[in-house]
Formats: sequence, C-alpha cells, structure tokens
Amino acid sequence: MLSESMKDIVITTRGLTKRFGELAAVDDLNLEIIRGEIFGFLGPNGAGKTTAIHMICGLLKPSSGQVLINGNDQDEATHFKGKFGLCPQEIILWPKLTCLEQLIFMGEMYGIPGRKSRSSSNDLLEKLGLSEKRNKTAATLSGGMKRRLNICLALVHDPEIVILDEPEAGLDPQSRVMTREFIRNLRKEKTVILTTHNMDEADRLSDRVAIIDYGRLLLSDTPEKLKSTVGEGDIIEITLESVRPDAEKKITSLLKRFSLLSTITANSILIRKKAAIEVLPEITKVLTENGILPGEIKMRANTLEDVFIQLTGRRLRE
Amino acid sequence: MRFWGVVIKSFKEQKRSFWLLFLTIITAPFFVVVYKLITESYQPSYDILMYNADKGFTSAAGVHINYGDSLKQRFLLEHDQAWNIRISYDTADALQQIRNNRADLLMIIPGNFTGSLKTSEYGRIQKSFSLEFAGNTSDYNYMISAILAYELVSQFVTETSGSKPQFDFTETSIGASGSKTDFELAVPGLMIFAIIMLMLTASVAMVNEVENKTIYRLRLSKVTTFELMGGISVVQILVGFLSVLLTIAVAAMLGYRFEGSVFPVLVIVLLTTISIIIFSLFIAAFSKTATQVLIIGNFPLFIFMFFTGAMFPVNLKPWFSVQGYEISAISLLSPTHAVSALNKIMIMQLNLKDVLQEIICLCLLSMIYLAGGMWVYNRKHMTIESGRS
Repeated sequence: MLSESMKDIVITTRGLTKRFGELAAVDDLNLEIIRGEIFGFLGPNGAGKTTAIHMICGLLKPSSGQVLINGNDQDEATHFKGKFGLCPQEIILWPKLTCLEQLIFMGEMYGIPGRKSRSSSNDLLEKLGLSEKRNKTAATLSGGMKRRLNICLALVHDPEIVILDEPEAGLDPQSRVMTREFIRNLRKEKTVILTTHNMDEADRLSDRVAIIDYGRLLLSDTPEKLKSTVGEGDIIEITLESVRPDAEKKITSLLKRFSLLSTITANSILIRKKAAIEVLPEITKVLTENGILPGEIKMRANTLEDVFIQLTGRRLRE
Repeated sequence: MRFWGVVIKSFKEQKRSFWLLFLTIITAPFFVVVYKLITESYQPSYDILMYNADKGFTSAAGVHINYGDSLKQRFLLEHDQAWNIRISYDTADALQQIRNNRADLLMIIPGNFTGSLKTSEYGRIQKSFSLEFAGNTSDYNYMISAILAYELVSQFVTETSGSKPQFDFTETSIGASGSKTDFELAVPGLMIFAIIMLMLTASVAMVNEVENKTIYRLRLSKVTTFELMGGISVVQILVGFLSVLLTIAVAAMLGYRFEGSVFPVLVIVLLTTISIIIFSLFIAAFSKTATQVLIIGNFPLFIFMFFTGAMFPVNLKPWFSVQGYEISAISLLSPTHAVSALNKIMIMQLNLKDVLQEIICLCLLSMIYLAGGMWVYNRKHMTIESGRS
C-alpha cells in the first residue's frame, strides 16, 4: 500500500543513466521528488545535474532508465508538454523581442490565449522587477535583468514543475535577493527543481537536497539531516601559511585525535569539534611545534559543503 | 614568434571546423563535375512542325504534282537525333504545341509553292513564293530551326527548279516574343532568381531558433514543427513577394513593359516562393548557425541559379515526357517549372490553364521537398536529443 507521501510524488527516476561514449554523465539515478517541494540538485560543475534535468523534462533521451511524471512514463513525451517550465543555466532569449513580446509569444506556444498570456506576463515582469523594461528588447537588458527574464520565460505558462538551472549564477546581490524571494514564494504552488553548485543557495531554498557527483547520487535528504551526517559541533577551518609537499600525511598523523574532516590541497585543514574554541590553542600549538604555521583560522557551523567534503574529500568548486 | 602562434592557432581552428572547411573547398570541384555531366548529357534537338498548304499543279495532260508533298518527304529523310520533323495538319494545334514548348518552329509551305517552281522549270520568269515561319522568335531553338529549314527548302528548290531559288519568308511571333528585347526576355527568369535568393533568408530564419538556442524552449512547448515552420514561412512568403515586386519595379524603371495576365504570374510566384521556403528546410536542418547556412546553402543556391533557366537557358536531354511535357534532370528543381511557366505567361501571353503541367510539377516537387524537409528538420532540431545536452 502506498504511504501518504508516496501519493504526492510527482517525479520518479528509476536507474536513470546517460552515457556519452565511455563517460557516464548520469549513472543510475534514483530519485523521488514530492509535489510542492523545492528540490535542490547540488554538485560541482560537470557533476551531471543539467544532464539529469534535461532527461527529466524530456529534452534529452536517457541511455537507460525511466522517468515517471505523476506515475506515467515520460517516454510518451507529448503528454507532458507544458508540464515543465525550464529556466536553463544559459540565458536563452529572443534578443530582438521585447520582454513582454517574448513572454506573450512563449505563452501562446503553450496554447495560452493572448489576453491571458499578456496578463500573466505583466504579473511576472512585475514580480521580478522588470515591469519598467517590458517594452525594451532583450538585447538591451543588463545581465541580471536577462537572467530574471530567463526565469519569467519558464513560468509564463504556469507549469506544474519548474526547473531552475543555476538561477542565481551571474546575478548581482540585489537581483539575487529578489530572485531568491521569488523562488521561495513558488513553494507549495509548484514543484521546483533547483540545480546549483552554490551550497548557500541550496541550503536556504531547498526542502530537500540531492548531492550528485560524477553522475552518481551520493545522498538525498533535507539540508538539516544532511548536515547532521557530518556530526555535531563547530567546524574549524585553518588556512596554512607554509607547508611542504609531504605535509598532508604529517598533519593527518598530528591531528588524528581530533575529528579531522580533511586536509584540502595541503594548505587548509577542516576539523569538527564540540566547543572548538577550547581545543583551538592546542591545535595551533601542535602545528607550530611541527613547523606548520597556521594562517587564517575560522570557526563556523556545518554547511552542505562540509557534507560534500565528507562524502568526496574535496570542495564543490574544485 | 607571435605571427607563428597565430598561424598555428588558426590552423587548429580551421582543422576543427571540419564541415565548414570541407564544404568550402568542395564547392568548385563539385561544380566541375556538374558541368561535365551537363555538357556530356546535353544534346540539342530541334522540333520542326511542317504544314503543307501547297495547292499543287495540274498539267494539261491532267497530271497533278504537289512539290509540297515532295518537300515533306525530303524533310522526313533528313530526320535525325538533332532534327525532329513532324507533319502537322492543323495550324491551331501546331501553334499550341509551340506555346507549350513541344515544338520550336512551324513552317507553312505556301499554296503557290508548286506553281512557283513549275513556272521556273518552264524557263519562264520565276515567280517567287513566301514561306511562313511561326514560333517564339526570341528563342534560340526557333532561330536555329528557322535557319536549318530555310537551308533545306533552298536546296530542294535548287534541285527541283534547276535555278537559283528566289523566295522569302515571313515570321509570325507567338505571343509577345517578337516584340521583346533581350533584357525583357530575361525578366521572368530574374523574377524566379529573386525568389531563389529567398533560400538564404528563409534558412537563416529557421536556424535562428537553433542558433539562439530558443529551440529548447520551443521543444518543451506545445508548438509543432509544422506550426513553427508555417509561421516562419508566412513572413518569408511576404519577403518573396516584396523581392519579386522590387525586381519588376527596377526592371520597369529600366524600360521593361509588363505584358501578360497578372493573376497567373501571382500564382506562379506564390507557388515558387512556397517551394523555395520548403526547400530551405533541408539547409536549415543541416545548419546550426547563420554562417553554416551561408556555406551549406551555396550548393543548392548555385544549382538553382544556374541549372533552372533562371539565369541562363538550359536544355538537357529529356528522360521521358508526360503528355508532351519533357522531364529531364533539371525537372527535379522546382524553379525550372516556374521559369517555364513565367516565360509562357509573360512572353507567350498564355494563361493559367496553359501552364497546368508546370503547376502540377511545382506542387508535386514542393510536396516531396516538404515531406523530406520536415522529416530531416524534425530529426535534427525538434526531437529529443540523443547526444550531449
């Protein structure tokens, strides 16, 4: 018997795989995305996030596996036309059409009558702070405005599922705040899939996060639960001033009594410790006595990046 | 050092743009092959219709002689691959055949032909006669046919009468062919050339969505390939009409006089425009950018320009004929039929029903282009990708 949450599953992927020759860009991806949630896809560049969402929305044919939308096979693609709204990572606009013209056009392509399309286009432009630019051609907009228009184009037909691929990339702080607020407001009205390599973005916006690397799903859960997998306590991040090439092994040996998360590229150390401030002098003393000079020292709470580092031994941006 | 750095970098880029490089260097060799094939397959053929109006001559002994019949026999003996002579018994039908390009020349032997030659035989003062040649007097085939026919009649008269032939000929131009200047005769072809050029703008319009990547958005929407291409085509049809209108306007400013019915011209222009836009689907299907359109589009553009009769008259040996309408290699190119139709309408002053065969060919070819073009465009740009996203 299906549980209550199972009934609300809008997207299911089963063994979803995409191969480009020998390379598995997405490898055996199994996911369930619940209606009304913001589902974050977190992973470094080239992890397979965009490939995965292109298969989910029907732009790319999987090598194997299956995508189910509301329990139905995505292979019957025409049935799902209009269910998805995709805001691609790359800004895709009609440069010679005004903001309003392209939104109305896109609405019409989804079968929305002109008047309704105009009204929803104006609403979207208002919400994303573009109403003053409605009659300007896309080519004349700033980068941030283009990116916001890129989001509008994904929503003009009021889709059930919205896919936002790196929506904050290249946005100025003001636009980022506006966009983040807008995405947050989409929750419950729509199912949102958010792909990002920005941990902060994923953490703040997502109800659940899937961490993906080399095409494989590493973990999937709420940000809180994911962060708790790293363990309780603070994170001490020490940047080293001067280290020898063989320092990594030595540092690992010196600090094995502390919860060493990792040494990163041999010039920074991450340590998790409850009441970290109490052991910090001891750590710096051990390092200094062994000729390893600490530079900058930071203490902070767990982040999703720590989860990623724990899982892969490297930072997201490496 | 920097210079060589640029050379090496440019070499690598050029090598990695394989298709652009390949298409650029293959264009001229390709046309060498096409020209060779065309010149080898080209065999001139002149179709002459002969109508005998000769009344003959009856001697005092009651013997009836008709040199017109003898001339017919002589002409039929001369028949070979390049020289096709047929006897006509109905001048109206013969003229219709010329209008439909099924014959080049109608030669009418006059009623006093035998009488003229008999008086010459008896040593009397030779009475002259006048041959009548009818045809599209602007057409090269007509001119050559007329020269050949005149020479043959001269030989016959010399042999029969034993004296120097003394006759002349009159020419009857079909439609407005006799009154047109070379420039005016070129205008119908140039109108089709204007439409052929649409191939590039139409292909670029279709590729714009691919180049801007907006095709991804459209693929997720409910729009079909047919709706997308149809919408783009309507604008291109208007561009096509504008282009033809400008061509005629400029020609008119330079002295061209438009003759013929407007409606049939509009029908042919519309059908040709649609056909060219449909053909552009093939170019758009194999291109991802406007630059690629310009390079790939060169091939069909040149072929359509040079081998459809739009710029120069082209005659190829026909493969077969349907209801007298000859089909050759260039019949596979829809503008060939458009040029033929416009020539008939604007030079021979014919109507829509007289160019029905051309219209049928134009429509059939357009449908074939449409089926192939939609299939390949759909496969290349509108279906879900099997490659990298």
